[in-house]
Amino acid sequence: MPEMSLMNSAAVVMVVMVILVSIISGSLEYTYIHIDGLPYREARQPIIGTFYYYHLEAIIPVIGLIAFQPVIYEVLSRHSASLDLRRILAFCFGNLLLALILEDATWFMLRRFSPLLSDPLAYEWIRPSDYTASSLGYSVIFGAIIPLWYLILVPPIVAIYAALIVLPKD
Amino acid sequence: MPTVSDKARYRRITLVLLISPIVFDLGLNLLEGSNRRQLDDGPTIYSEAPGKVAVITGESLAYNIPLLQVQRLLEHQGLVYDVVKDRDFTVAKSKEYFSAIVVGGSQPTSLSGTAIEELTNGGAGIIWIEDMPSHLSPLFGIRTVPETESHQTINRIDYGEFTTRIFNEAIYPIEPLEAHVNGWFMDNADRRVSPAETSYRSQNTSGIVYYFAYDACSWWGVDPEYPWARAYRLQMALNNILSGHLTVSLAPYPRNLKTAFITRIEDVDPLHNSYEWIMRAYSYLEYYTSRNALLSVSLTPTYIDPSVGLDIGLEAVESDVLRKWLSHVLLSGGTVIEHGFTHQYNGKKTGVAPEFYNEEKREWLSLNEQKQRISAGANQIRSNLGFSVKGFEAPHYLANKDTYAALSQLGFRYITHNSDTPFLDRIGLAEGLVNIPETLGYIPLDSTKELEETMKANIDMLYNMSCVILFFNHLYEDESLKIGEHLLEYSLTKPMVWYTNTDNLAEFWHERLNAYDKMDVKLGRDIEVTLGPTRKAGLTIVLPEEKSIRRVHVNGALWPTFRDNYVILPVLRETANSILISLSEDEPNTNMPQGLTLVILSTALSILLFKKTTSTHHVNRTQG
Repeated sequence: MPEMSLMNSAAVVMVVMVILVSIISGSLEYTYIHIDGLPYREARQPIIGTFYYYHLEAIIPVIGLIAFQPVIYEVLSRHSASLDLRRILAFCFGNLLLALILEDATWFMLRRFSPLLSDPLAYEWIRPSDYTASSLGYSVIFGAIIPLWYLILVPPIVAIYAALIVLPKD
Repeated sequence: MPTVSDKARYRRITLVLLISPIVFDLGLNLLEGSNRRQLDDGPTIYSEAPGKVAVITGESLAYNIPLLQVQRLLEHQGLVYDVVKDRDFTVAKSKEYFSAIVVGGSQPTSLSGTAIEELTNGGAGIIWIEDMPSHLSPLFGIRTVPETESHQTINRIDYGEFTTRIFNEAIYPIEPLEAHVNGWFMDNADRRVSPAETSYRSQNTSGIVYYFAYDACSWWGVDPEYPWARAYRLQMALNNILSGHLTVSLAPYPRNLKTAFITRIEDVDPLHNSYEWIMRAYSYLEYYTSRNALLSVSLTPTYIDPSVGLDIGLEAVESDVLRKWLSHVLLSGGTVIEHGFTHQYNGKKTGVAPEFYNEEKREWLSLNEQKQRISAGANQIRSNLGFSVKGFEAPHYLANKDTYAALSQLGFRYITHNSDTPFLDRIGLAEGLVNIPETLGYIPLDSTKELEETMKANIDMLYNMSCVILFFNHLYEDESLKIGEHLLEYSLTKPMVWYTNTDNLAEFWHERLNAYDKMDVKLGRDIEVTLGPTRKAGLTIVLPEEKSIRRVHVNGALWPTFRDNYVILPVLRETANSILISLSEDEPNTNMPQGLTLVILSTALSILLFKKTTSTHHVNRTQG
């Protein structure tokens, strides 16, 4: 695995891969995870915050595995210096945070723009009563409700990616 | 030391972090004030009336069909109601209700005129069906008159958009004083004889009162052209008297769907193995599957014709093709209903006679005999299709209380009969059974375009009534195949229809009834609905169309699935579940302070870490 920098094409590929996986996960969740004809999120309460059992048991582990794939590779191949490993770890952590936001947002994008026929809240973007918005509050940005937990995760993501762009390779 | 270009780069990055969404968040929130609680002009306090309907009966209920039909209507609508004796309906008692239906055929002679007057003056609506004491008629804007010879010639009621026949039944002549006439009794010469249905509101603040001068609760399903016209008029009257009130009801279908569309393939037995029938059956299944619609098949698992010594079961080699088709039906989401074990008795052949009732001797089979036959059929279906049937259709719809008891004891969940009601029906059946009513008739041999058009008109009526649309099709000829397809196609043009099978609907209705049996409504600052348990998500509480729900709590926890005037509920696990519906304010953004604090902390920490990392890196580089 080459050394990590966002200028590095391997890192760009990783970010794209994580984005794709999180979008696919959000789509699969919206399209297939139902109960009694309702999207699961509209039929049950989450276990923690905005997360359901399938997030904790399947979606997040899968996304995590892909997001942390560079670290796993480096650890298994044992050819990175500890400083590099910390940098890669930070990069992977940033990817995971980004994936969490994208997975959640994809679910609501589908409900808003390409809803299921059986979805009673079809064509609705995030509402104040949706758990994603109510768990840590929400903000209205340009007329759209944005959960505050998105905004909590954005600064570390920006900081991590920025640091990796700014810092030259050793 | 960092170079000049490095410093410029840090400044840019810091800038990016600073204009990260927190800035948008805080700035735009200040501009829009959107996180503040949005209040209406002020919270509305609804009347403390419990939102119940009173069904008032007298002592002499000669036959209980009118009362049963009213109960079926109210249960289907998901309204809370009490059956109250006329003598118990006092002025004080009337305060508990926001509308009333009086079953006049039961001679409610002890009903207090003052209580009725108080009820209407308070804004409550009343429907009075049949016989009315003359001293109450002015409250309904009418006057009772003696019957004349012309009333003997009445043969139908004209409602403008449709007519319904008058059978051998009593009618109650009236004259309108100030009431509006909604329907007229017509004679053989097409002349209006007297009003059949009137409506009246004495003052702007009083409730609407309806009078039916005939038994609007009986002879349902008998008129071949518009079988549900009387039920339709009664339901329309109920809807009108409830309009303007804060009515809370439990919708009859999941996810606020308006109706259910079900097709039964009828009288299928092991001899349905001809190439033509099987091809038609596959074609029909394909047509339905491609449109996400399901089939329900009424199957008699053994064919008997004693006159030629024929006894073929579903397990016979000859039935291979049928078994394969049935498996396809099940795999596509359809279901199989047991339609008797042999659909015959004694020396008769399958299909031509009922099974549990001997028409010659006028005798029913005993409970044990019925149970054995039903059980034998269910076992035969299970062993050949690997499917446990939950539904039963008695051959020729002939079933008695022993049939229902046998089905209940054997664990069946529903029957699917024509019980002269288009509504959800559990009254008169055994514990644990519901009836999925056949409401649209069937497609007979040599059907014409006119029949198709009549069925479509009845689909319209059933759809408007939110009643289940269920017809059966034998698939005996290509024409019946085509008409069946056209009916599905016609139904597909309507929104919010549930294309399901009898098993799914029965299971949903059971769960709905569990919740409904404990339903209670309290109107105050918020609307508090109590419901019993349900294992199905999707039960829907509906408010009047003009209402807009702002916030919902289920058993104390915030619930997100509501829209406009309805709430779609989750699985309800408690014995009594509380649903609190608020119309007056949006969900307050209660967790925003914690969230905002975390946004600030996260941003500050990110900036610090970024600076620390970059400066450490430069120190390392410099030392290096």
